[in-house]
Amino acid sequence: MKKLILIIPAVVLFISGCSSSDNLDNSVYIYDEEYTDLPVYTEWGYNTFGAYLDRDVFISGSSIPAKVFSTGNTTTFALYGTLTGDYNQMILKFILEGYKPAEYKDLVSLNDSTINLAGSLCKVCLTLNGEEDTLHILNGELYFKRVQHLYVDKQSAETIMSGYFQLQMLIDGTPSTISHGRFDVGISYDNFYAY
Amino acid sequence: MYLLLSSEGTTTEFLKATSIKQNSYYLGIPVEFRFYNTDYHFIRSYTKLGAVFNYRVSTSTNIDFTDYRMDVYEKEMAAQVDKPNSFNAMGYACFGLRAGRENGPSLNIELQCPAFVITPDSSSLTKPNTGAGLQITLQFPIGSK
Repeated sequence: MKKLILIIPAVVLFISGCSSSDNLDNSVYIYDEEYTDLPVYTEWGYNTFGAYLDRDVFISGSSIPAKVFSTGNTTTFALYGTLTGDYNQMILKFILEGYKPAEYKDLVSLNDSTINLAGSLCKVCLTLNGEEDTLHILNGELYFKRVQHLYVDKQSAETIMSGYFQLQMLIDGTPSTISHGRFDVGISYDNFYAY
Repeated sequence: MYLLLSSEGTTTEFLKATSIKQNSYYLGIPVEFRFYNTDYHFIRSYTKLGAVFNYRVSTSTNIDFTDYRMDVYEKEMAAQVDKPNSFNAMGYACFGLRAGRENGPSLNIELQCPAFVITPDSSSLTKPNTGAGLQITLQFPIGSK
């Protein structure tokens, strides 16, 4: 006996899904495929930075990675992180003379601009183990490749500063190099100061 | 999650969303092998191995924004979300119960576990590998000789 059977699906259910949560303040680490100790260069406000100080790695941590403070006739772009090796906290400050944004939104004026770190309009300070030194810069540059004002739901949220830096300097008379520096940080009311 | 609305020059706009829901509807051709675990009873259990080859008929994407005033952008943002491929295939093992006379109409309730996606790159928002499902079917013999 041969029989033809009609099958009518009444209910067919297959479920898949995922969930995630995030915040603009979070740090998102996506490591570089070439320089695997450093975060890859991004322009999404991932709140990360990284560079080599000679062969050690200077990288952002879990706290606020960057602050901008505008005071007097200078503006300081400071990166807060840790250095591998014998050190712990390290702070790298780029102090720009004659530049004074009134609020974080004004930082977009730095978009696509290059600062000559060996020039007279810039100073660089390095803090290691709580001791801050003003560096003697041999050469170097700070490149703000993209600075963008970010709106979320039509409200101003932050300014994302993304770019590169590298420099050669003297630390206690010894030549050192900061190389392959890259940053992608969000600056907002939380970490911008004008006084 | 943040969805990119626009990015021009030094201005970038995101919209914050709590969820993206994407529903896809398929027409599928199943190939199945059923093995009854017992001799005939009005209700009897069976196991089944099968695969289904699906064609996507339609897809809808809905976004829940944190700020309801951003709902006006839902259509624009949903258009940016990729759709699954038109075809996909799944394999599965089932445990089922059949209720009905031996050669008459029957009701089948099946638990598909595990179900695995044979074409894992065919999805868009997710990349499912394995899962589970429920299938209820009505079965009618419509001819014999």
